[in-house]
Amino acid sequence: MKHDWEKQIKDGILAEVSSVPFSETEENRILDAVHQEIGERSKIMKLSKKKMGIVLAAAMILVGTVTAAAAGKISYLKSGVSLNDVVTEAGQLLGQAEKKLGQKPKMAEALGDGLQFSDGHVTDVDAIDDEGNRVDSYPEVFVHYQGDQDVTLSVSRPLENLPRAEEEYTLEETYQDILLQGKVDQYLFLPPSQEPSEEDKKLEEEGRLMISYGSETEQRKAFKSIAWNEDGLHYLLFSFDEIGLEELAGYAKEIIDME
Amino acid sequence: MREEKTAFVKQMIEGDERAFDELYHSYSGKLYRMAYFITGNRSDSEDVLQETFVKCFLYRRKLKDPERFESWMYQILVRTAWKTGRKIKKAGEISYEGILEQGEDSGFPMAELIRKDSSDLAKNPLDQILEEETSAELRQAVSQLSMKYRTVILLYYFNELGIREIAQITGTFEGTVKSRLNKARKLLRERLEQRNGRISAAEETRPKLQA
Repeated sequence: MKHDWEKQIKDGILAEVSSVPFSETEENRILDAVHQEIGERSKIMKLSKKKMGIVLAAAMILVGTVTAAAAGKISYLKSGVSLNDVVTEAGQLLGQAEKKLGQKPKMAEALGDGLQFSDGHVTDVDAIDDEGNRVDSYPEVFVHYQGDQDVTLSVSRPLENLPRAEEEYTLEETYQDILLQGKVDQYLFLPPSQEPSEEDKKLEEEGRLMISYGSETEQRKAFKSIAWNEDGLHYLLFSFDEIGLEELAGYAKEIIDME
Repeated sequence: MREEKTAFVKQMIEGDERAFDELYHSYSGKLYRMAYFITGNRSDSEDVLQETFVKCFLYRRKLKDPERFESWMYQILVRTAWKTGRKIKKAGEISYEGILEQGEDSGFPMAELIRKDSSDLAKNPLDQILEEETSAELRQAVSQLSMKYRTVILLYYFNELGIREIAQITGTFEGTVKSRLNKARKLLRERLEQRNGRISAAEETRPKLQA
């Protein structure tokens, strides 16, 4: 009689899998842990939609412009934000910003006709070397505006030894002796476990696409930014929303015009 | 029952945590056991189970067809388990390819090599070998497979999935799934043949009873 190996293997596998114990206590304990983890990650993900994605993007903008420094060989920049650090009062944020940056930055409470101050936070941007060591850091303030669009202002005192690579700007304008430089970068946000396509990887290698991980769903966004320097501080005004560079430049000029 | 589960899935996608809990209680036992089969230890299995359900809820809107919930969960579980497995090197684990290479290099037939690796079997006296169940033999053979081979035989024999679905869940080509399945089957069959052979040989040595 022909031996039925398939049946013997199948029966064996079924018996083996089914024999693994899993008690009700373990089941409930893990469910509690699941809920806790969901709660924690949901906070971060809610933040990420408006803040962390933008914080990541801002850090990525700087990463895109960093070349290796002579000492410490900076590989990338990293910053983060926790819900507890977010400030919803403009006056309070300005005070924290002055303390962090060592001088009072120009920070408007409103921009244009419809953008109002929403919230902000101060943070430190860490410069990380190839081995993951923090070699230096510098302070940065984020100011978030809401209205018809979401716009964010970043003010930082960057490291002096942080040479920036050559960038291509689609907008360059001098206003009140200050050079405004604007560009549009394409971003791809992916969930943590998702791999980019070969085409997207190629675009990233060519510097034509920035890929960032940590979003809930796959999203492609155009990142518009205007940058300028004034009194030793670096200003960056940016948005993922439907807004033109000229409109952003208009907001930049309002900030420059502030006393 | 199937309709009820689909309803829970739809409610969970809308963010209903009670529906999510219902689904958890329905599937956690099965998924835990699957995780254990793939990873081989309780601690990792718990981590994998937890992470699978966390991802299930956080990325629930990615599930477009509620009818495909099970398959989707298997996909999350398998990818999570593989990721966990990459972090730890299971002591003593050798891949099927490793067995074949060793067998070819050393000149030992593969079956002999497997028996050489099964130090317990080599040390145990014949009586103990006779007492071993098929599941223990299989467990030994399965533990020597790499994680990806274990996954394929799990999804094929335990979950009774087809090659195409296994390929989709594991993110591999159908040809790769077939190849891994065939190699794993061959290994498992040879282990079982060995066992059966030992039992037959052992039977021959028993004193014949008077009729």
